[in-house]
Amino acid sequence: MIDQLQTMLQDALSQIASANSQLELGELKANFLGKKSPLSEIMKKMGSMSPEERKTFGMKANEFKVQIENALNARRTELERLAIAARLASEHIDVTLPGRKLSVGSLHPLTKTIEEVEDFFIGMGYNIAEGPEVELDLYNFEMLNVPKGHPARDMQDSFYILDNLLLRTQTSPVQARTLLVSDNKPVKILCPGKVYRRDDDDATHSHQFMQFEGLVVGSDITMSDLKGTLEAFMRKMFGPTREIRFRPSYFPFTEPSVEVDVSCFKCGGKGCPLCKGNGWIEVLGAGMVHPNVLTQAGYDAEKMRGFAFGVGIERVVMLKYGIDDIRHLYTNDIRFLKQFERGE
Amino acid sequence: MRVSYKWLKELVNIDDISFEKLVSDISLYSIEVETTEEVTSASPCLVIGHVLSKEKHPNADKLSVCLVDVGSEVLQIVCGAPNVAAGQKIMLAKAGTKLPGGDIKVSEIRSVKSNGMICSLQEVGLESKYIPEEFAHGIYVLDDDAPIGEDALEYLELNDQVVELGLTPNRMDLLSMRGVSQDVAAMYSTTVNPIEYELKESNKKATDEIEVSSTTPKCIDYYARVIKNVEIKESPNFLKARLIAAGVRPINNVVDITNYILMLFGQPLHAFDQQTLGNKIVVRMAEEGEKVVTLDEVERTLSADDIVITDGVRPVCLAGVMGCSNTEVTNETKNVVLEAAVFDSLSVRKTSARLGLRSESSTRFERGVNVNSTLEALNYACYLLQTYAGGEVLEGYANTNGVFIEDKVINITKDDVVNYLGIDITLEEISDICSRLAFNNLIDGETLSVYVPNRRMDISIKQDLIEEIIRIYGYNNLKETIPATNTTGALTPSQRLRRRVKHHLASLGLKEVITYTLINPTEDESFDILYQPETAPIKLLHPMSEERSVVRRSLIPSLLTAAKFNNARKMGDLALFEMGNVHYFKNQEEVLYDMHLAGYLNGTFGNESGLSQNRVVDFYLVKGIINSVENLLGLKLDYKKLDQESSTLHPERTALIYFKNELIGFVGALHPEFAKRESIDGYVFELDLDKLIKHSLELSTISFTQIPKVPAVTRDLAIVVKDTDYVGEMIEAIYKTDKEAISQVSVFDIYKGMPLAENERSVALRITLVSDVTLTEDVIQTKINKIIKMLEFRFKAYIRS
Repeated sequence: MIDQLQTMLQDALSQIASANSQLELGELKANFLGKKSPLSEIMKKMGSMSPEERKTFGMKANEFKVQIENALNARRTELERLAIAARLASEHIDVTLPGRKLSVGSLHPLTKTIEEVEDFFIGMGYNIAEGPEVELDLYNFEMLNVPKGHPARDMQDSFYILDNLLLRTQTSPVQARTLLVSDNKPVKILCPGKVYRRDDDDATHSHQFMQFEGLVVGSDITMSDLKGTLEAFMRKMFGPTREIRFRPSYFPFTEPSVEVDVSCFKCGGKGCPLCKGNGWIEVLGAGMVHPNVLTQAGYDAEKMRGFAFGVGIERVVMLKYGIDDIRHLYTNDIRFLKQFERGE
Repeated sequence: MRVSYKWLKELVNIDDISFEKLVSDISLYSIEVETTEEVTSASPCLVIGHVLSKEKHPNADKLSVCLVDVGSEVLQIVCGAPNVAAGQKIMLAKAGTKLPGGDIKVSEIRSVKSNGMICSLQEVGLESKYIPEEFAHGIYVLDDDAPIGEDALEYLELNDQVVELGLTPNRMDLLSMRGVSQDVAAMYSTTVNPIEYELKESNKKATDEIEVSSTTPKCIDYYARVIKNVEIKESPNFLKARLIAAGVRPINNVVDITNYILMLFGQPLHAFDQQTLGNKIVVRMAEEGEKVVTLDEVERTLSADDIVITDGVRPVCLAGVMGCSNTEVTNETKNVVLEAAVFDSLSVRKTSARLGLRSESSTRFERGVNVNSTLEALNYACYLLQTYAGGEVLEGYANTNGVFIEDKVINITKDDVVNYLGIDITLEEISDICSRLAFNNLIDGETLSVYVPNRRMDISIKQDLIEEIIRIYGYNNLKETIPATNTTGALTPSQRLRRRVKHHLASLGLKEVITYTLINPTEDESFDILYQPETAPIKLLHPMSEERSVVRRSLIPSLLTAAKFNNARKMGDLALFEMGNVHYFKNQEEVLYDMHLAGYLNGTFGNESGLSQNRVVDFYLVKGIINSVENLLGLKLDYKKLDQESSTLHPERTALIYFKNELIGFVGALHPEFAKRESIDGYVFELDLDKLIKHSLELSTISFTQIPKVPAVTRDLAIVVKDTDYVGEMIEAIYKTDKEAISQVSVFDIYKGMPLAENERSVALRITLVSDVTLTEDVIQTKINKIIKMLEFRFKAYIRS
């Protein structure tokens, strides 16, 4: 009988091993372990055995049953594994094909730079002030210490609309407007915006361009504060090792007035074509607010003083990105704009 | 102002300062440097040679073979210049000399050996405008007494370098060599050399021959001297060389001396021929319409704002600007009346601007001439005329006012300077800097009294003086500190929303452009939907061109310009937006402006190749973009079909956009006729962003509402309606049937065709219902039925089976 069981076990294990589906496994389970299986049939005959025989045979029969169950489970797991593998294989894709394109828009490089500059100065406690582009002569010139007939008016050829109205030639009128409503109190503003001058458009001139003006007024502002502020700003825009230097200059609304150079970020100051060999690049004009500007805006120039600086944004953008022609910024060639998609 | 290095070294002791260092220091301590240049260049030098003989070249008609004595040797030189002749003193470039055009070598020219080149002035780099007519097409011939073998350019004093200073309106003192030398002296802590001369006057009195008077306060002062028997001739080499370096063409000794004085003192002079002038000078304002012929032979009509010099009757000079030809000094002139005067800056500026006449004189008068040195300049000019024109200078001068302006006193303390600049400096150091600038000064306790002379008219207040102090002390000595103010910074809410909108559109895939504000008037009329009634465009008084003559009222014309630019370069599929101000006049003088947002799209959207499903740009795509902006701003806008004539927008595919009942924008396709004419097709939109943002900011803060505890229920409804009825109105009406429960109504299909009638379409709607409790099927059906009833009643809709 044991031999009979042995033969049956071999048969069961071999059939289970070659089963190819869960269904087949189910059938095999019924065949070998079910009520009508040979094992059950044999077990039924155990009643007629001697206690000794029954014990031995019983143990054996149980052992065989466990073996068949284990084989069934193992094969079931294996078949499941094979099924998953087959499904995965059928779901092969080429992962190197390009992704579905979502269009990426872009912000204009002037906008990107303005936002970068705004964020820097906001971090330093400045607010962003704005003003009209069509401006009164009063704010564009007169309140900035440039009365009618002043030779400084020749420095900026203007687009006049009426005798007293023009397209602003600088963002400085926002200074005057802000001071007028600030009641002798401290002011810390940045004024970005479009400005206009009668220039023929060429690689370095544009009749329309953008500036930002910074103005800080308080009771103990010094020119050293101006230098520290601009140095921090230049380091933000052009790298942490930049140096700046001041050179004497003239603007009617500041006294003293300076041109500000930044050490060349390309050659580090040794001299290269970008800095025309002298190691410095002229980037902006600045100075201490002229007392006449403060007084005209109702400030007490004996107690309050401040500094101001004005930067051509195109100049910064062109330097930063190596753009050789200012007209690129206004023709809006898609091939140009696309180059500024990247977040910075 | 062009500053000659040689001349400067004559005026101030800077022998140990190289030209390069001087230039760099001027830009750091004095004023901006525009350029530098060499007047001429020849390395190592040209030598003065004596042409011993000139023979015709055996093998060339136009060449000569010359023997040239250069002192140490006699060289054979082949020369092509037509004016070379035996006996001349010439400039020779020996073999090995480097010239601007190349290096000179020993060569064989048509089988004849040449050991160098006889030079013209052009060949050493001198600009042709300075070269006398007779030497314009040949070699330069030196005076007979030129020393053989010596450095020719040194002899001519043309081996000079020039630094050109940038003009600023304030530093009138730097428009003279004396002023520049004073600033340079301050830089290097040295002193200016005094100009020393001895004027010998005849015993005849000038006032016997000339009488001067003025009837206008705009003539601040007027001096005249008389010089008899001048010999008009060429100026000496040094004088010519100084003028050339200064950028002035030498003419003759009298003219050159007046120009030399102008450059040295910054004092314009004018020379009259005494014979044509007569014995009287009256300065007065011109009569309106009075005519004069100026030295350039142009007849000019004057205004009552012009100052004129007259002989008592007729004008003989346009004061400060240009002389008149009726009293011009000519080669026949014997006796000269020399004027040195100062006129009102603003008047000269106006006259020269109105007549378009800018001269070295007017440039100086406009900025202000130091009246205190006028007489000194005149006297030194007389000395030069005596020395270089053989003139006899009459005793004394005729004069109107004899003005002398006293020094301005500015009192300053150490604290004034320290607090303004944030540096450590002592009162003694401040005093020292003032002394270096040649400002007398006196320390009295805590205060320094500084006496600023009239030559520095730009200095009138304490801050002006502080600028001088830090300039000479060195801007590099400023510290780098950050202002101690306790302000906080942030974007304003509207600035933040503008940024959000820009970033949102860029994220959707649109590209931001920035275009010109000035456009042409025709373009400006083309998209006028948002133009306010009773407003007018803002036009420039003097535009540079018609194309840029009016301040735009719509952003769309410039967007179309950008689109056309790209189309012309085969860049289609555009999705552009711009944010910018539009401006207009209200009542012809009040300027109004608004920030607008506009866009232009054509072709397919998001088409960058690849596996994407391209979306053709149509009305609904562009509207969808605007809807997303609405969502961003929390606003709900209404769209109504265009109800007016338009030559630029498609009448059936354009919507006017309203917020409540206020027109706030439009969106639509370009009119096919316009598209054809302008070769540009696509969709545009424009919104009054300022208004949208204003309304958005009026919304109350976002307030949390409880998330429904039960999931929303959706029901689909396919209705058939008339083609001409607006689905937008149906959706509105559906919401209104149950504002609480209906959270969303969306359209998921539109169908036209069989079996529907010609004028019908089927609209598939999905209605989303929300509630705090589970909605029973009965309740849902009641709500849906209410909707159906409403649609049947209002729109004659029926349910599609």
